[in-house]
Amino acid sequence: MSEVLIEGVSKRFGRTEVIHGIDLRIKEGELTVLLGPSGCGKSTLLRMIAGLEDISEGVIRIGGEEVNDLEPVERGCAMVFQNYALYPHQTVRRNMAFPLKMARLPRAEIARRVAATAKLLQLEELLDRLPRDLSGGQRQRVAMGRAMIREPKIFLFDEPLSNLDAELRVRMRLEISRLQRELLATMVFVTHDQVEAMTLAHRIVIMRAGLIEQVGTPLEVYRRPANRFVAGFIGSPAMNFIDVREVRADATGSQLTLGDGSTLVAGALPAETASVGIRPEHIRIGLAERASLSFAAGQHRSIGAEHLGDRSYRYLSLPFGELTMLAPEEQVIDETEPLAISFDPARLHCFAHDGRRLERAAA
Amino acid sequence: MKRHQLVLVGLLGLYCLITLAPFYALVVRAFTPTVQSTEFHLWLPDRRPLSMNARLGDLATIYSIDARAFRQEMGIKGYVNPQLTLAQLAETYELEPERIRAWLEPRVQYNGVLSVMEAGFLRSLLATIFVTGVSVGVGGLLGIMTGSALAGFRRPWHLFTYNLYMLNMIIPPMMVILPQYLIMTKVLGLDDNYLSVILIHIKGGALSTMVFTSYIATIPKELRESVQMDGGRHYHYFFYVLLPLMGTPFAVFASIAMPWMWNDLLHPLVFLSPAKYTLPAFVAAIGGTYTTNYEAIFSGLMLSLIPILLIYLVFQKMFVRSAVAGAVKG
Repeated sequence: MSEVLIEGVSKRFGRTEVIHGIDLRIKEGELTVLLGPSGCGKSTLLRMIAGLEDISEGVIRIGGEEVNDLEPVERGCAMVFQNYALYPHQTVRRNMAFPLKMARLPRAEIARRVAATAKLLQLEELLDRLPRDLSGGQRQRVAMGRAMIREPKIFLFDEPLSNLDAELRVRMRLEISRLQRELLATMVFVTHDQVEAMTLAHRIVIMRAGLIEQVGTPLEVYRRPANRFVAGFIGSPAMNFIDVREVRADATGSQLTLGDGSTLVAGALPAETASVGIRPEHIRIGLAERASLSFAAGQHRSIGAEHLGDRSYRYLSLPFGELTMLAPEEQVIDETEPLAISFDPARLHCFAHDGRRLERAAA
Repeated sequence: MKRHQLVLVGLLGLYCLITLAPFYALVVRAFTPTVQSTEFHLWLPDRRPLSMNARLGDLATIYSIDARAFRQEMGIKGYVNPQLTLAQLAETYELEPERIRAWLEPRVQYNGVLSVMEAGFLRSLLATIFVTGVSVGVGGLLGIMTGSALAGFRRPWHLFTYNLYMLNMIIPPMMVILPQYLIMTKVLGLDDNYLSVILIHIKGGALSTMVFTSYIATIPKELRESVQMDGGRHYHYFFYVLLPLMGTPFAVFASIAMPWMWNDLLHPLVFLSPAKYTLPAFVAAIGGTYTTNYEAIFSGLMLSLIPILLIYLVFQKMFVRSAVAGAVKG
């Protein structure tokens, strides 16, 4: 069993508390991603699991056993660092053999395991090179090899891909998830990159300011964000938020009064809705969908466009604020013409004043 | 080559010549007889033959020649009148003048080098190598240990300790020589012992602390954590990771501290007896009692410079190589 159980864990550096009593269950055989903006405590949490930081309060259990006072090696964790932390004066072979040497394994066994791991990671030709003679991706693989050679129960990754270029990052991402499937290993992966999180994770833990905002599968956190922070953090470009002044319900549904006084008609929404969110890809130009907003010529202004080839994003300035939307490349938005946008009310996310998600009554 | 490159090479060449000129002067001086030492020589002066009219006493005084060794070599028993000239000596003791010349002439013509050798240069050289080697080695190791503890100044008292080491630099060695002498002899009982000079060299260690603390601070802390994750203790980190990475700072430390230790005159002079003098004290002592044998002094200086120059050149190469390796960290 290598389930990680985090119960009421806090971390204080001197007087500043950076993690405020977190409860989390990291399931065996899953790849869990800790995601959050920098300074949210995700790395600190990882380092507490690893045993590199003391736990100020609370309990961490690995496989049911409390590990608060155990040395890192006794916890059965291996870690891949952001800068790889390869020993610069040792060859790849000796780097990978180091954990086994510390474990006092016989020399023949070390050689056998190094060879097997090198084969798995396609490092065989590089075994006698020094880390400085390797490319970024190769160093990354050596670091992973050094982590997995001890056959740990849990792999910890601290932003391992952020030093790589974009193309390599995609390849290493695939490689990590292939390894995870092959080894059926429990992995905890820290990143601030949501694409990495969405593509790699079985389960995403979104953190902010030392607290967990939401735990869920990638699609769960994308489709049903628990609060406004998660909704804005997941997805690129970010979700559009529209402040709501008032919600009036009648027989046909809810009428929302927006910040600028205009009205939006949508299906039944909770009465305490303070803002609504809509993803850029759910907005259409024209009146194709049920909920719609119209703007006279001069009321709307285009403040930018991003053409990514397969899709194009438009940035609009509207009376109630700015809006990002996905639109076909050939779509022309003319500021001297009236503009109508519409979306399916079912795609709207409703948030209360404190940012909490409001569930819609089942229609 | 472009013109400005030529000018640059020319200037650099000139600079090299200016730098090397004192060494050249030293070599010339090492072979200039003391009687000509007030004259200016650009090239080694001609060796003048030994005059048989020279008096034995004068030769012994000026050229530091051991009159007793001469008597034994010539088989003369008893007192020899130092006022006798060599010709008179040959006559009085029925010696072949050629035999006297054969023994005395090289000692006069190559007086400097030979008297340095006879006064125990090699023993003194070995003592210097021992003292400097142990001082640099142990001092470097202590510096690495201090540096690895202080690097990064993680606690307020780290900086305080570091500053204490730095403060050590402003204490003039002359001012504390007496208390140091008393501690060495009365408390530690290191009377006339090389260990006393070594201890003086490695004490404090402002330079080594500075060099190693700042270098170790540049080593990512992840290396330490990685060792920890791999099940290593702190001493594993120290011996397997930290020490092998200390080549560059050690070369920096050694190339600065070693010449200073090698050329230390004051401490050996105070703490050691003449039989144990290291090179600078040894050279200062071979000048003679009633006259000053400049040829011997300059020869001693030249000979004591050669080993440190060789060591320095080797270290310089290492220093440059490791500095370049660190610069293009990829």
